[in-house]
Amino acid sequence: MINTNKKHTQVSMQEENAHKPNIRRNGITAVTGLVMGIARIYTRGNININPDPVDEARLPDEKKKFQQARKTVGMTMERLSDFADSRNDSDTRDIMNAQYEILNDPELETMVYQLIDQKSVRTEKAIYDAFQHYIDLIKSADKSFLVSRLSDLRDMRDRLIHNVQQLAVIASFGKDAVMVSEDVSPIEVITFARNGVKGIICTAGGLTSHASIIANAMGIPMIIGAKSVLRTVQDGDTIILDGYGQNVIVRPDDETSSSYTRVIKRQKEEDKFLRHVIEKPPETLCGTRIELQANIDFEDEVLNINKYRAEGIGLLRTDTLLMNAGPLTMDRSRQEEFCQTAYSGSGSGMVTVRLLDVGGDKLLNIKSKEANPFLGWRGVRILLDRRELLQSQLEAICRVAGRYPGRTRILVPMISNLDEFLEVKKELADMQGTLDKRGVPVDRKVKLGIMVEVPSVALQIRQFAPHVDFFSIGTNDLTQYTLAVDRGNNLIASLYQPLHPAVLTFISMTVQAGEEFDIPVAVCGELASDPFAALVLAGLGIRELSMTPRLIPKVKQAVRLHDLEEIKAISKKVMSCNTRSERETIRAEWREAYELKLKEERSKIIAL
Amino acid sequence: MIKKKVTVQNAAGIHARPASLIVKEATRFESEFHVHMYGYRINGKSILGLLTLAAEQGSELELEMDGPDEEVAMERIASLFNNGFRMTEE
Repeated sequence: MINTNKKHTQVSMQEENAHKPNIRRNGITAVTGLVMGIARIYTRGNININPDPVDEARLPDEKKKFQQARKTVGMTMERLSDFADSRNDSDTRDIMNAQYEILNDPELETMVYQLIDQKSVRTEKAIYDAFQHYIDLIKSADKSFLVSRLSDLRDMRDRLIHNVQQLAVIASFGKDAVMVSEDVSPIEVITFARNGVKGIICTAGGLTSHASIIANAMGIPMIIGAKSVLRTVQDGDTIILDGYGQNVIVRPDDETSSSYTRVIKRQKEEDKFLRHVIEKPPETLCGTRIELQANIDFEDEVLNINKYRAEGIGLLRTDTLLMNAGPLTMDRSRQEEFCQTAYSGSGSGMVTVRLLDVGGDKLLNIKSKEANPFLGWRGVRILLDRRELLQSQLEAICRVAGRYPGRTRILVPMISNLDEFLEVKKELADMQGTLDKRGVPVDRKVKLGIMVEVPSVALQIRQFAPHVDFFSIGTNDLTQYTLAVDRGNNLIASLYQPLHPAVLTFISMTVQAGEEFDIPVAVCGELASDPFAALVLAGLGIRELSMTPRLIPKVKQAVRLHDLEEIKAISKKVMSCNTRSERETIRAEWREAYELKLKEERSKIIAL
Repeated sequence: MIKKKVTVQNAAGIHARPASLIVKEATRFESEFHVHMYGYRINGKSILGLLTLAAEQGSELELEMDGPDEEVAMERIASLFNNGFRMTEE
């Protein structure tokens, strides 16, 4: 009796909390932005099968869903199986192999299709019934050695059904949806993006996770580490995701919601205003051109190149391809396909393909047991140890480069000494020779360059210059290596200062070497997309900035409202700052002056 | 088309691991592959089909291979059976 009472009180307290308005919860901003929408709680699990027949017109879609689910489940399994391989875990590998064969069983496929066609049922029902057929048969044999393996069948069945249903669930969320979930996978983020999801809130998650990279590319604001949100929010609640304030507001009251509505409205006007700049050249007031290029991670993003008028691709990351292929194996034809899409989507611009840059924080989490992964096996170090991987990348790039002569730059990541670069250069020449012999068209003008991100390279930049065709500065890593600050560590977040004079000095040295040896110098780190930082970089002599395409208009606007002398003066001031607060003051002063210029520009545009 | 009789040698019978080995090997060949047992005929490239046979140690099966590479394929699959699916007794 007492127990029941206690329970009752707890429930009502929870419910009360669940209806309280204006609850704020802190998180960490993974992708900035501000949105207000309807919270949709996204969980995995809860298999629920609807046995009703569907309209005949939908049957081809039902079959496609099966294909899609099989592909997605297959991808995850390949990764797990590689993981098992890497640990020499033969039991797990055997189970995985058997499950993989179940997934790709031709008779299973035939039966699923037959059930869909003949009984007009949904994919999930067909999957369930097809598996049940086999489960019944195996059970009826009554052999203990098989009955114990039925769990493999059930596991595959549930994973497939689950996958089919998740995709359907996401598609039904509607345009105002703000996803609230424990964690999301990269594939889920892509599906969110395709369905117009407004924002993503996760209770777990790391800043550098691949899911957040994709959310950023697609322009979906995202907050992670919002620990207790799932306890306060209910599906259908109004929710505000405030990436600037690093928090989430559940069921905002009228006052809060109207003040946010105003900010969002202003933001939309700002976006609209920025559209006028898209068609204009990226030039300073005095006519100096700053090329603004695109950072591209995956196929869905390629459309943004033309949309925001990026001048070619300054950084084509090939790391995303690993997502589909499992750790450290890459399918050459997939790479070729990806490059092909990138080239055909970027007009006549240059395409800078960066070789695989994994290790450290990226993608290989499950394998990195290194004490210092950022100083460990990553980038070119992996490629030189796994030559077949390097060669497959070079082959894919060279094949596409041959179809688009004069447009290719290949970027080698994580170079820390010259030998590494010379090795890659030799591999490239060998690959070109091999392809040439096979009669594949080869572009001999492919440019080979390095990422400048390790201080030793920046210090010896003049020794590299005679051998390379271009430099590209990765500001994220250059900052963290120069200042010895882990960019993923929140405890020292304030020490991560990309505009620190030491970092700027390295950049400046690279620019000087570039001028002396007549080699282009680009910046492809996140820093380039911050208008103030972009100006500082331009002031140091950088003429190529590469960033997420949707951020180009903002930077272009800043470039267009300054002349080169002003820009140089800003750089000089920032270079001479010895403390962070001095730098912040200069930024604030600039901001104030810039707002005035923007205001003037706006009135001019409106007058037109 | 060629046929060949084989006997399940390993103690554990055709459970998930041997079945996936058979499928893996068989799908490398173009030939169609079927297995006969107790009057059943199942697609040998289907792991689920193989499992439903519930073949124990000592069971006799007939392998049927039909296609351009049937000879090699038969030899490879039969040898899997004959060496107890590359495993020691479980």
